[in-house]
Amino acid sequence: MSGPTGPAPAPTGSQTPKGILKKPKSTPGITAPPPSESTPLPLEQQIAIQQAKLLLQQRGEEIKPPVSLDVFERLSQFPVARSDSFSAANPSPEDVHEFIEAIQEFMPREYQDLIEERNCLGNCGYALCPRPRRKYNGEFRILSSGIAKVADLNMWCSDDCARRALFIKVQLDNPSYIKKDGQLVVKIELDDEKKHPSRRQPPKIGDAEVDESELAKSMERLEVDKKTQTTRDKTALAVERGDARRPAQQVEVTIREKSTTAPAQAPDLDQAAQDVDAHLMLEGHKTTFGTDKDDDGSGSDDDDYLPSAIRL
Amino acid sequence: MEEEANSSIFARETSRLWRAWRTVHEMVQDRGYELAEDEVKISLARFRDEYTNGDGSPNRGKMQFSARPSEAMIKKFTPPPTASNPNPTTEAGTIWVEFCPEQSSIGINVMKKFVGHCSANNFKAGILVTAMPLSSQARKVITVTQQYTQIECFLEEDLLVNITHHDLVPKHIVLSREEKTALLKRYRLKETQLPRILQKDPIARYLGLKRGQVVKIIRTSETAGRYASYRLCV
Repeated sequence: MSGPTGPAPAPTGSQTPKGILKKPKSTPGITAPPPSESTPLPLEQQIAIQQAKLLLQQRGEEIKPPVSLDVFERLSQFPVARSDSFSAANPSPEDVHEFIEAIQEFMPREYQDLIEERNCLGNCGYALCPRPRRKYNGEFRILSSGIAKVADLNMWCSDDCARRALFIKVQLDNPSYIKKDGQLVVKIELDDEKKHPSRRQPPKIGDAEVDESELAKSMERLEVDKKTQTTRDKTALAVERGDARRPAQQVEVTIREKSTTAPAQAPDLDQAAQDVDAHLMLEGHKTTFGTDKDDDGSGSDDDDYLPSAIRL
Repeated sequence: MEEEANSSIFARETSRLWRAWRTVHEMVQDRGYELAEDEVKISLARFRDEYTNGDGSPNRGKMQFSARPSEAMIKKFTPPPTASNPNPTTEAGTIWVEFCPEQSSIGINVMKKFVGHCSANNFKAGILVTAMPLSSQARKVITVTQQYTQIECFLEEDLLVNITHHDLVPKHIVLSREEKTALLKRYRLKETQLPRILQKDPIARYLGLKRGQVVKIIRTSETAGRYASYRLCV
């Protein structure tokens, strides 16, 4: 199948047969440098540059590399500054700085690993706490707030530390980013404990006065809550009924009585007996079929069977 | 009264450890390392004498041993000579087995110490038997150092029974590289066309299979007498 050969007039030697294949398109990526360039780079070098660019681009899109083991080792032996003046509530600024720097790179899963790693060493799961973790026996434990798994309790030295660690965990789970040196990093901050001191320290039994005033305050709040609760319930009910959509529009209802001309009279049997259709009457009403309209032509159909006596 | 309770707890723990100790010896022997018969088949009384403290509590710190590969194993794990490498060295080396005295779960530092000990003493493989599971980061240490030292970890409770002695577990034989190539040639297969076995399979863990090794499984069959199948470790 070489086209122009055969019975057709033989082509001259100078005419070459036309190929049936598509012309190969030159790929734009690896083409020779444009002629305008004064010193064209060799092809290998160009490919190398292109690959380097591709790698750079890939590195930008890559997922975070896992945190190195050294960081885990360092953080599992935190805090560095251990003295009486520092505690989990009041850690040393250097430790806080280093901890936040390191923890910004963590994924939520890795933070969980850090807690596990600290617990292996017997430390409290919160990295800035110098105390050892709790070591309860058994599987469950009854607390004032309910029943808790001992494994969960044993991760921390106290409930306060659990709360502090949770504060960090929440920020890692739902990260908000800040710009730092042109790069986005997860914003992590420690819980500001001075802001809500009452939440931290449970009320002491000795301070009866403080207790009473606190109690009164909370009772007041409770009262206010009650009022707001009723209004809230009302609105919820209104919404459910569909009233809430047009609260201002109210239906005007007026009751009008029909004027009476004579006192009410009981139906009379004798009078009814005189009627030809008496046998068709049922409680004063004669059933008709739709075709023949009312012959007397007074009033509507509906009123027909109502004796005037029972009209209001 | 308390002492009595303690001693019964210790006796229980000691007998558990004795069983794990025997199983780990059998495992090392089955892999092809040289172990004396009286080391493997140690009696409970002798074990109690050697590896318990004065009060009867087991002394895990003492429970450690090393083993050298046998001639047959060295031969099996020597890759076939090639033109570029006419005298290949064997992949088999001495193995170090240790029971971990740690009673809480195993963290990075314990694992690093074990790996450090293995590499410092030129052990090619190490087995750590622990009472508690590893932390996820400790597991990562194993994978990181895998190219230098082959580290395996077993739980004590997994070694109480030697699974290969079970009635329903057929005989597994690891093939050498030559045997593997011969098998693939004989059946004109590609590697991927073989049935597979997972690396975390209990038997694969027992034999210490690595990715790419082929294991021959010999089952008894009512019709054929014996029936061999092959599985590739993935």
